[in-house]
Amino acid sequence: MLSDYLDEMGVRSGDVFVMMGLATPEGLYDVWSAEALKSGIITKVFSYSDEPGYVTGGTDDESGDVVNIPPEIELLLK
Amino acid sequence: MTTRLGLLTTFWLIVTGLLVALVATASAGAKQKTPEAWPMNFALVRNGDCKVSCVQWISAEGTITADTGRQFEQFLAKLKGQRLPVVFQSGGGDVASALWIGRMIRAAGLETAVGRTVLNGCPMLVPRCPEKIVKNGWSEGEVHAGGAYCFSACPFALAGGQVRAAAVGARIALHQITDGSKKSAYADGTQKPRRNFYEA
Repeated sequence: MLSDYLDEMGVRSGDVFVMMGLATPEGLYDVWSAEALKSGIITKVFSYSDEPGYVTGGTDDESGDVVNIPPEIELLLK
Repeated sequence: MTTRLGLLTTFWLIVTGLLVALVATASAGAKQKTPEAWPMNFALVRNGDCKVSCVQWISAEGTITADTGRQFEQFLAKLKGQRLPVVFQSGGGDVASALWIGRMIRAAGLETAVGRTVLNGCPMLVPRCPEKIVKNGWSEGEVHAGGAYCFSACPFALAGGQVRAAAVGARIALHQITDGSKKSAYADGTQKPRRNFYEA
């Protein structure tokens, strides 16, 4: 049910299940911005202090590449 | 002697009364939920008078309950097609309800974001206080992306957005889904997680 939903929304269900599996049985797995972007949980990243609406990075609509992302996130993607 | 006994009785009555009051206060405190644990509700919020420009959004905060999906459906119906971003801050909750919300958001073509709403005039510790939420109208406030959180079932509702955004300083977190017996497919060893999912 969940994997169907995530696929329907354009989120990589396999990645999400891996991250869920990385959580301890009683705890949470913190999703890094890079992981959230790559898995499709989010498609845009705001800089820390901006309000929603001011986009600093995200995925290119045509190529699907991650573009214009903050340097600290770029490092994580390499 | 009689006076001493009377004083002693009064003393013990006062002590007992104080103890009872203390227990009652502690019990009420334990039952009182923090804002994060309140059931999710929805509010139309704007920043600015909107005569020239303003920021408008749907603030969705609190725990997702089995009834939240139905409430969101009713809320959306009142918007009459207005396409506003849905800004979530939630510790999660009912997964089925979260999926329903996500599907409604996608069907309506809305965007989503992780953000915390601060309503004007609310106390610092309850920044989205119920008394400042205007029913059937616009509440006034600000939205902050940094420091907001979306845990557990919340990212599933967030996924419904056509465009979905979060700040570098926001927290998105997932956990294993259990059947209530505290055992999961991963925890009981029937399914092993792939650690290197970047290579998938």
